[in-house]
Amino acid sequence: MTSFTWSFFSTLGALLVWTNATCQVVVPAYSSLEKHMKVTLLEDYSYLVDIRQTTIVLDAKGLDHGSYSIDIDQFTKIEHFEARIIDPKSGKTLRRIRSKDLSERATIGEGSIIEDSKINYFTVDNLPVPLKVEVELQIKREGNFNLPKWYPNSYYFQKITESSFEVAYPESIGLRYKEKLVTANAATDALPGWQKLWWEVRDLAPLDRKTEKEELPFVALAPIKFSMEGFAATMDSWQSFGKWFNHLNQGRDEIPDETKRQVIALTEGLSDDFEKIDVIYKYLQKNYRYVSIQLGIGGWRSMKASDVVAMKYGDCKGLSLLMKALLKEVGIPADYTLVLAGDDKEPIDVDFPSNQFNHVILRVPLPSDTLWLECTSTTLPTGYLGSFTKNRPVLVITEDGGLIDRTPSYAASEFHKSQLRLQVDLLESGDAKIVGKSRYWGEPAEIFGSLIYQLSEKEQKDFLNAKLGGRGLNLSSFEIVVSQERNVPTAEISFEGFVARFSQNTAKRVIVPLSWNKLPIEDLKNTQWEYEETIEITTDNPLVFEGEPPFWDVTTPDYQHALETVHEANKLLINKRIKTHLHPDTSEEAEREMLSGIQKEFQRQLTFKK
Amino acid sequence: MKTILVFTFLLGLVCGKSFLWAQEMKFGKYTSEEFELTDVPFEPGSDAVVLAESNTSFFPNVQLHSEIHRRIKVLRESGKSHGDILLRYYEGQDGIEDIQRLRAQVVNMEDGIEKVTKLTKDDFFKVDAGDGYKEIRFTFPELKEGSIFEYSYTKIDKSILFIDGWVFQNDIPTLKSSYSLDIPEFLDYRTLGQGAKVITANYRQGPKGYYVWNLTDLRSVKAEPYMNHFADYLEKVQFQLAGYKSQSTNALGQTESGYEKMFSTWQELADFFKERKAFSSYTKPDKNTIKSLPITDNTGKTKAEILQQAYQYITTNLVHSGEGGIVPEQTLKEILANKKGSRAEINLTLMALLKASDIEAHPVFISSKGNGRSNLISFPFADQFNHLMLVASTDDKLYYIDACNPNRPLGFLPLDFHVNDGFLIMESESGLMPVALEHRSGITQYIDIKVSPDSGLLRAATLRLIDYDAVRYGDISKEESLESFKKEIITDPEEDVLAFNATIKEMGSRHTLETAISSKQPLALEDNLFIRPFSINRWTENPFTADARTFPVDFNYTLTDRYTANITIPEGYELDDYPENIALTIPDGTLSFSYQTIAMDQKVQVNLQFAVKQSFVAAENYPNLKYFMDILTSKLKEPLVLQRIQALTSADGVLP
Repeated sequence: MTSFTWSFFSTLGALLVWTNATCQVVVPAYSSLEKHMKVTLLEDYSYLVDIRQTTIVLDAKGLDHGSYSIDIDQFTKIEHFEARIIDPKSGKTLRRIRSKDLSERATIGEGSIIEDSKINYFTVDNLPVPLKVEVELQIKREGNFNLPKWYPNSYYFQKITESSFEVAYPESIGLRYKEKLVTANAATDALPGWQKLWWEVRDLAPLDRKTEKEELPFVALAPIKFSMEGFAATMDSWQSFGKWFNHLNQGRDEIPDETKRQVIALTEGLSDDFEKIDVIYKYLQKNYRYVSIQLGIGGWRSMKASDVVAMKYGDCKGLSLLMKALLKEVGIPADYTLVLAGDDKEPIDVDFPSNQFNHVILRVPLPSDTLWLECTSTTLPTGYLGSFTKNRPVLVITEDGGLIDRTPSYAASEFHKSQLRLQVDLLESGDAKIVGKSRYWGEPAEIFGSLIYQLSEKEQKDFLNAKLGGRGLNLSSFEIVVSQERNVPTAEISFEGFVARFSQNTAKRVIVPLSWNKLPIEDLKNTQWEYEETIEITTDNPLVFEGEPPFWDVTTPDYQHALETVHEANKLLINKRIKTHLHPDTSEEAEREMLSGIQKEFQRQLTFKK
Repeated sequence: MKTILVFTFLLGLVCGKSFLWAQEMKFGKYTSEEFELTDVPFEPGSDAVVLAESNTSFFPNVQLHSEIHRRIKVLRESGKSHGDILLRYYEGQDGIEDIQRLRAQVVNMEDGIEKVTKLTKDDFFKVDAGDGYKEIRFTFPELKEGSIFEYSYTKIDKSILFIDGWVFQNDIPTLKSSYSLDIPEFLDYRTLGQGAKVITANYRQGPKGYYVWNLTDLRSVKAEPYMNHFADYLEKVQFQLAGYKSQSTNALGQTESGYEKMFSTWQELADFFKERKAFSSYTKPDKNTIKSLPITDNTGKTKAEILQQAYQYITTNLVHSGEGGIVPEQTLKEILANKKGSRAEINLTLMALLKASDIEAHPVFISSKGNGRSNLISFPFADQFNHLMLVASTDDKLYYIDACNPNRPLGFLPLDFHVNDGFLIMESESGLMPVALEHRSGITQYIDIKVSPDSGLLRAATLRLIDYDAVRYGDISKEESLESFKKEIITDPEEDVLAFNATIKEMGSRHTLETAISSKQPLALEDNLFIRPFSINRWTENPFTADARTFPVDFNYTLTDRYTANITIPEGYELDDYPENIALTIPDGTLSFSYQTIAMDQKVQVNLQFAVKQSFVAAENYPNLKYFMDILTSKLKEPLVLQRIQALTSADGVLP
């Protein structure tokens, strides 16, 4: 589904800079840029992009600022291209580059087999600076589903002398725009029936890589009326935008009779909707795999569900549409849902209906709650989304068109629980034999699904040796059981092994860490969280506690944590409990401080005389 | 005189031989053992396995044809991902490589019947990967646990000076991997094998010029920590043309036969590179270019000073493009104008500048770590090198130089350049030379620890990081580098740093990072004071957590750390307990560690020494290394215990 966001990423990837007037550090300028960009929407739903720019490369470190690339797909045609590389001292043209001289390279995203995307480009190498590079370009794109986004700059360490953006559109098509840190000007020279807007910045200082994204000015465009390959609709509301997707995928959710019979047989005897969804989702996970093939309008339109059945693979659109069709067979309606996926993605702008998505999931509204299905995953439990798509606004495509909903955050403590039971046979050397069981619920359990799916036995063992406990662990045996309690993922790891230097021994003392395993506090990114731990340590020779066994039970409005130590001659029992319930508005700093405070309490050591 | 390679009359023989040695694995013919296989004995739990793969290479004409066939079985669900295939080849502008006759199919056993699905031309996507490379991409449908899928193709290669050969290992285990090369009588190749199985195999079983390797049970290859790249250890074989028979026609029209040798000596190989136009512009620059070199008045300067000055000029005035390679594309004149170039171009520019300043300097080709070759081949094999550095000589010292990073001092190389040998290029007597990097890396630490009634635990540490341990932090005069250094050194959040002064010092031939740190730490006022002598240390955690290892551990350089802590026992306290003394080494002697506590009146001294004597630790020694590091990191956490011998004064909370 990469094509969904071609304009978004292709522009953003290369650019990203804006001035910070209060910045005290002088950032060097490796180049300067004068750039004029014009977008003309046409009544046949195509549009033209005209760019004229002059880059003066001032430093050899900025030689790549003189290079240029154009994103091309099936819908894009270069109408005109000419670049000239000029020696600014003599004014002599060193190299002239036309469209036919451009190199070409496919731009296929990781994990994709094939995409209809490539770049045509030239690079500036092995030339002395200063250097002037003039570029003139006109491209024509069929279909105005995606319109370019304008950023004044192209590179870090680049000074902007002037950068302007103009858009002209027929009133019959209409246009909406979103601007940040720049203001639109209305042109007065538009033709009858046309509108024209323009933006301009001048003399922007160069910026370095520390520049925050929020500091970047931009202008985003979206048409009111749009069309791709004969599928026309309006984009002035999410509802109408969603209707277009409905139209695009109409009739593509038909599945073969044999598959229908298979689904009915799979769910025979089940009355609970969740159980039916669970059985069908696991069937999908086991029998179909994610393969990304994005060609032409296939970047937005789903493969036919019947083709997915035949090939036993599909992309996010195809697998989601197939799952929707399978559920439909057992009377469970589900909604095809567009999302901007990614762990570090900003939320979509819900006030600006436009194509802001790169992935498809499925929403399944049930009478008691709503489930969400990630149909490309072979490991996630039924009804649980990973960090890739959780907690963000999404566009649900219903029969009546699109509507904005939000995926769950899984903030409740039932999604953030873990437990450890450990028996330690502490040897005189400080080494120990251990037997234990770790249990996880929700987010902490998520990783174990992928672990047992993807890794060999040795790799699983290596992972557990590094992550399960503290230092020095050598597992001799282990078993990982992954399951779920309704839509909460669970994992249980039973293990046995040897720990080198579980305790530190001095001449007279044995020092036992209060927390041998790594308390998962550092990974905690949630306000509610529960942890329980019981360690039973036995020794051959009796140990004498130096001082009193520690004990505490602390309760604050934000958290509770408690420790109990019970010491008998050859046995030490340590019980820990931690529960957090932070206010959602707690600042990151306050949260970090609080958590490190708890962690410090549990990092103490217990000292025994030999 | 016109020289041609004689191919035509041998064509029939060449083709004939390739048929004699037909593959055992037939496309579309499967054995019951293949269907029954559910796991890999030597790598249990693998999600897929290469059942068999073969490369049959031969010369039907002046091109090398390689018939490649690979058959894979899905053993677990996750193994389906191996059904996404990418075949990459170099087409260039002249169609150097091409892939033809690609076919692929998947078979599933359903109710005892083989269900075969063949891929069609529409399933194969050809894309331009840029820089002359092409890719053919495809994916197998209908994959599930138990599926067997296979593909075969012919790769045609016009470039026959170097033959890529075959890598016998994959990212999944391989049951059988075969490679054969049928070399016609008029061509002569040198064989370059790597890996125990490749080297020990009986690969000369057939007629002269026929090589075959049939290797079995090959482990999958995956990256491990503390190594550069597993490519250096792969089982593989490559070839380089050593000579060929030729025919020529003399002035009388008579045909004469001859034999042309290719790179039979290191000097021939050196001459091959030196004679290239761009290369010779650096080794023998014209007078005008020499004039444009930034040669300063060196009167009264030692050679070492001139070398340092030239190095500084090049590193600060030329920008490294990021490209490696051993062959310059730009001439000396061009890079002096453009001020940006590849590693080869920048280092050769420095060489030209040094020569113009009467300092002897020569290019050295190396195969850096991760380039796919752990040791150089001892005969002139050009394809093994990937970087060009310099060796320069002053009156009393040999310098190995890479002038691509202004933050790296003269004489220090990137860590992946720490290799055993390089190919020295000279006018005569070119050949392999050892790359003996002279350094004394390590960390020396002296720390005074006192207990203050007001401030708790006070530490005053002097830290000296030497050579590569100093170089790794770059130019600490830059704020970012200093912060990064500080963050790595001060790891205890309880430690309140009062002063942190770091300076780079050149002490003789040593490059050092001298740091004075004073800090305080709260100390609970109890009967027993627990003090960890070394809060700053190289190893806070054991980095080795896996219980076994496939490849050697590479520390990149040898080092010796020496820490000394002097603890003043406060009045009213005595030393009650301390970590037991220890001295250990791992059986192969590559690492050693000692820890000793000495009590003297009201003072305690703790001495620690840690040494990495060889930068490589063999994989079979890994369990010892891991246990060694467990003990070391545990020992560093053990405290001294000072016990109160006087009762508290009336001023509670204040030490008497």
